[in-house]
Amino acid sequence: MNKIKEILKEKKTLIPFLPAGYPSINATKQFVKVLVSCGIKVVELGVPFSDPVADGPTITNSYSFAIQNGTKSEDVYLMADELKDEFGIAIIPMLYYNLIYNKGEENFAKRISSFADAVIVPDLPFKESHRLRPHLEKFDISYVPFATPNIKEEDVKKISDYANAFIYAVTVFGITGARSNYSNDTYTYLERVKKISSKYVAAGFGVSSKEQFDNLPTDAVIIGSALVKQIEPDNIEKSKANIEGLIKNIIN
Amino acid sequence: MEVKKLDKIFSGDFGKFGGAFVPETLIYALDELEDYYKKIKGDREFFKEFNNLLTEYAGRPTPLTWAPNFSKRFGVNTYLKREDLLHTGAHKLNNCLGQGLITKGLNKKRVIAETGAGQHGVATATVCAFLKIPCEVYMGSVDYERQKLNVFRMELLGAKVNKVDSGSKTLKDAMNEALRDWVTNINTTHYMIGSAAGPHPFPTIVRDFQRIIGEEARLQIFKSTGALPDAIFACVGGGSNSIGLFKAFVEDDGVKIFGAEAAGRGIETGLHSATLSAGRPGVLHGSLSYLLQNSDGQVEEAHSIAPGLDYPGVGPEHSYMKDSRRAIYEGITDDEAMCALEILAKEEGIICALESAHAVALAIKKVKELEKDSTIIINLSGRGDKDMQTIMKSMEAKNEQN
Repeated sequence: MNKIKEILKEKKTLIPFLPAGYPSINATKQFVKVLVSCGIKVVELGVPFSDPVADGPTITNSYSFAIQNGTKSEDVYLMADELKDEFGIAIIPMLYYNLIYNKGEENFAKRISSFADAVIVPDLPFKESHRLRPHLEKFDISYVPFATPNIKEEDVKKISDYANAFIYAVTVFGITGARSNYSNDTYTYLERVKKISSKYVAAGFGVSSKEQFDNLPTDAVIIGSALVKQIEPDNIEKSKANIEGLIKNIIN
Repeated sequence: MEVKKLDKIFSGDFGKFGGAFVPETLIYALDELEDYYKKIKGDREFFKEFNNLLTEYAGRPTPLTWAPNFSKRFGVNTYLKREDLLHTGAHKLNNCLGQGLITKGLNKKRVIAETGAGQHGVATATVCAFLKIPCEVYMGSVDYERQKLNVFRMELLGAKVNKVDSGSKTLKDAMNEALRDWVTNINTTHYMIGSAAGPHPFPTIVRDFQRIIGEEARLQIFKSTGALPDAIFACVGGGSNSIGLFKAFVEDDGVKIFGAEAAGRGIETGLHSATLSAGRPGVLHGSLSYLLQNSDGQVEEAHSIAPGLDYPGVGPEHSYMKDSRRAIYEGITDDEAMCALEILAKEEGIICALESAHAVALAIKKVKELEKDSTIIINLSGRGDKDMQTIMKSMEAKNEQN
């Protein structure tokens, strides 16, 4: 069984997102170590991209910082290899399609197969996913499809067929970024997706609190911008303490 | 000239190029747009209204002006397609009028747009004022500063102009912000993309609304000379004026097609926007097309003296035309464009936009390869009023050097 499915089967899961290389590759490694010490078993690693159109200012700025610091995709992959060896956690690289196209889809799948359990591509909608899916399948890497608040019932069924790990349910219309609360429509939509699909569902976009983690009616919850905000580029020790504080507060 | 029908095949793929590489949330709006566009393609009422606006509001047909002095100087019969004489001063209005009617048809209550030189922003603001649709325009802060006159025009027309401070602070980043706005406001907002770029179906829609340039030019040149031209020239940033001109001549094998890209300070300096000449295929802003990028796949910043050409991507149909060798794309430096602008001004009394000056410069280069007494058309996509400050600064700098 896919490692992510095993983790999600156990209990409601928090999936933290970290932009790799912010403020440095070494710091990201240390942050993941903190996450593991908090009991986290699956981590989403953002591969920095110059034009992340699905992301809000927090993640966009962290990517710019990482790129200006010289972070390359291969640096992220090498780090992910080390994390896999050291902690045995499930790793999900999240990256924009140009970084994949640039390497070639097959080469990309082969390269990340040493550490990746699944992959998230925010600018690869389902209708374009045929370009990548076969290559991922060859290396037993799960493709993660997106559900959005305007998704039709038939489309939930369609994407469910291809979701080997989970469906990424975007909670709101918009870009990434912490939000204080969700409307009732968000809960209704997530319950609808859960009801139609037999696959695991992870809610993402806007998560920042324990209350949201507890209340969102999904198998997993992804936390991104709120976690990235805990990072103070000039103070790694403080950042580690901040990350530990937020994660423990949410899952305990 | 009336637009009676649109392209026979509706497809987002131009060879291997095109597609819709956007967040899943946008797919709903893109499908809705595609469905609506397919519906209006054969709708006489829509095109009656569109053609009426092109004639009565925009001022079409634009003239095809014989350029006697330029012709004499360079030894080729030169005609200028005068999109600079269109209302708002550039070809951008054709597309905005079409998309304005689509916005109404889709019952969207708000329009957003991106702009580089400001011409698309002005055209969008104009159409939105006319059709009574609230409008917000995203503009990189570098472009905002160098095109202040156009910012003022947009605001005078009732649009809100949002300054974008991220990345290179130019057109690429304005487009990123517009896409982010669209994802957030997908139910109420139409994104009026101004170039033949972006996710499917935009490259097709924008091209179809700009085809009027080439269709008119084709009839006009035939009327004037009794034959098709030997070569046509247009500048290529995202590529909407050029694809509009080229499309009408694509099937005429005897017509050579030339696209002028911005080579900025020289391709070798890295400060340029020559995407087709110096880039390689990649994905940006929703489509697979040629792209300026580094070895890791990060998008590189573009440079041009002409803000409308300052873009690291290009419309996917141009990538297809490059690879299929139907069109030839070459870089023109800032200096060459400035020189061409001065020549055209002094020979013909026409001050064209810096963007269009690239097309003029490429024509000047290429006439040597054409037979004597050949006939050419150069598309003057816009007028130079908006660029006066940049032109003055450039000439002052040159004078100081000498």
